[in-house]
Amino acid sequence: MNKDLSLSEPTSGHGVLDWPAIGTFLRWRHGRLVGQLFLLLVALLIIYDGFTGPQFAPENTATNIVWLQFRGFVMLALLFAGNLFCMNCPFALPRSFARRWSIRGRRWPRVLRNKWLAIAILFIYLFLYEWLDLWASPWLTAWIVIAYFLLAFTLEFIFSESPFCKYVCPLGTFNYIGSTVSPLQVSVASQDICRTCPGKECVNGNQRENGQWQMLGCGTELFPPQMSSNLDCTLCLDCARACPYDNVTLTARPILNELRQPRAWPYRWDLSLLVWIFTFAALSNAFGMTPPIYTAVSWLGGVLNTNNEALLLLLIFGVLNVLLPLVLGLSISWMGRALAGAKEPLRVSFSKHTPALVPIGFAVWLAHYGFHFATGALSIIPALQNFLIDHGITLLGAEPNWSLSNILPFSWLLPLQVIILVLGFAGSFWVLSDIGRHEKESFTAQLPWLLLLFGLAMAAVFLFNLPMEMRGTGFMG
Amino acid sequence: MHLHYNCETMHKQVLLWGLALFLLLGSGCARASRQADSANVQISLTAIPFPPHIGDTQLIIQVADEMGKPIDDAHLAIKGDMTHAGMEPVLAEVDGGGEDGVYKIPFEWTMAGDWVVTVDLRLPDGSKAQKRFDMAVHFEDEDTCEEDEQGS
Repeated sequence: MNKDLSLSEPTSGHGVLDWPAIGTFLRWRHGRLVGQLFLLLVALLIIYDGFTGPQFAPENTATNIVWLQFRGFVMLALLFAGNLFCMNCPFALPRSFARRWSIRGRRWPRVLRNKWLAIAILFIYLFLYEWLDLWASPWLTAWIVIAYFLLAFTLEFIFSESPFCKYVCPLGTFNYIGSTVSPLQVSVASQDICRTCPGKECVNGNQRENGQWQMLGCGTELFPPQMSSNLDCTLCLDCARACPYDNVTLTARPILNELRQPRAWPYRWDLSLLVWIFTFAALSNAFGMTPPIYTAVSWLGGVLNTNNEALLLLLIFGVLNVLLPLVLGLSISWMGRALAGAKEPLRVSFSKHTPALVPIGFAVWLAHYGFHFATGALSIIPALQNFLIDHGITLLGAEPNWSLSNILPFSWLLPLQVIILVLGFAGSFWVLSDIGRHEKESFTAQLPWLLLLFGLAMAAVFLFNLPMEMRGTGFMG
Repeated sequence: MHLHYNCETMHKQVLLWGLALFLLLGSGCARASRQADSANVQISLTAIPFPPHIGDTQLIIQVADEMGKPIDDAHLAIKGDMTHAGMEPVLAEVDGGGEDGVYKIPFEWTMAGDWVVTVDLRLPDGSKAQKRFDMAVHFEDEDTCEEDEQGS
């Protein structure tokens, strides 16, 4: 991950992997497979109901699971544990087969071994979400799941490592950044063991004497003793299972630890811009469900004399998700560098402060998806009842109980959202302060960054105070 | 590094994925609704005030048979959903009490945006019908209401 490859601090014990039952399960050779098979069944249900069920989002399990329960669980998992979705990702199942068949396949092209492609795909995904109202279409939701399976299988079949997970998957991209706030991280118990390890099985995999694979190594090619970040870690724990010395651990770390550590991330334009887009997309995604989006579309349509919804949304979200973060990021980096009197490249100034955006960006996503989860976590029950009744099964009741929906009173939600945003801002401020301390920056030099964080937090509070206008049939009619 | 394939295992895997693909393709047809319409009726819906706004309003549902004769003794179950999964639906119910085929039902829109109102009708003879209506609820006086034939 980091070209400045100092080994990370060794940990004592195996952390979670030492826990009774849970640790044993996670270390078990087929531990991951159990979770993957469960989510595979869920994915098959999504595909089946998405195609054959009622094409009405609230009554279909596909739209409920993907756009409601999944997003809520992912955010909570990232906050309280780690990248649990990637750990149990069903799309990696056909990938595993493909990888076994193509282990000697070609390498992912060097020119694509960065986050530029991930940025492009994440942007396209977020644009399609707004344009096609994906949350309102069970049919399109099912196709998205199929596309994931096909793309994962194809890429892993052609290439020898896991390019789908590391360079392509927009869910993985989102989860990697989100997991930088997670409390758990893969590490090692003893650096000495890793130094003298001849096979490096955690990366290379573990083969039996007959040449068959016992355990594959890390698909995203991370080397545990050098991991200083959760970026690119799918938490699959293949490294722990492959290690012949039982030296890989999964341990708790201090709050926001990797964001507060200098050079935990490489100073790269692509990675830093991805984090900016993650943060600004959190705001634009919430903005897409408030009344001003109609005003913006209408105004721009008048200016350009067009009612082409795709074009208008592409321009609006292109500005909000790419142009704005790029311009603001470069401007603030330039200002901060000038105020600090530093002579470092703009890339360095831009990159070393970027981790400070993650807590507030994560908080906006959490406040947004948490809102939907709180208002509709139970709606999967009537949708599932509806599905079963459609197939003549009355196990969960003879009629769907459509009144089942929220898990928290509606009046609690805005205060909770504000609390989350305040904590997110506090986290960002803490990270920025630590960066300033490491870099010996003055308050003046940090002022542009502090104002940016404050502006992001205020924009989020403003957005969540706007009345929500939940659309699902397009802007133009 | 050498990788030894077991042909039998590989064939099984191919079969497994082939089966999955078959199931996938076989699911290409929408399943039939369990609530097949048995009542041949006309249902129309509007709201007062119209266009509808957030807050307390009244739904006006008009029910008539195929000849246009008003039906006053229908049981109506109304469900208002946002187009996004997970928003608590607004439910209302009325058992008979129509006047000249018109049923006035109190209804509270809880949020602006795109709504789908589902009217499930049951006649005293047990026959049923369902009709869905798209409705846009706004903060200002600009709206449209159109029938959606799906499910009816």
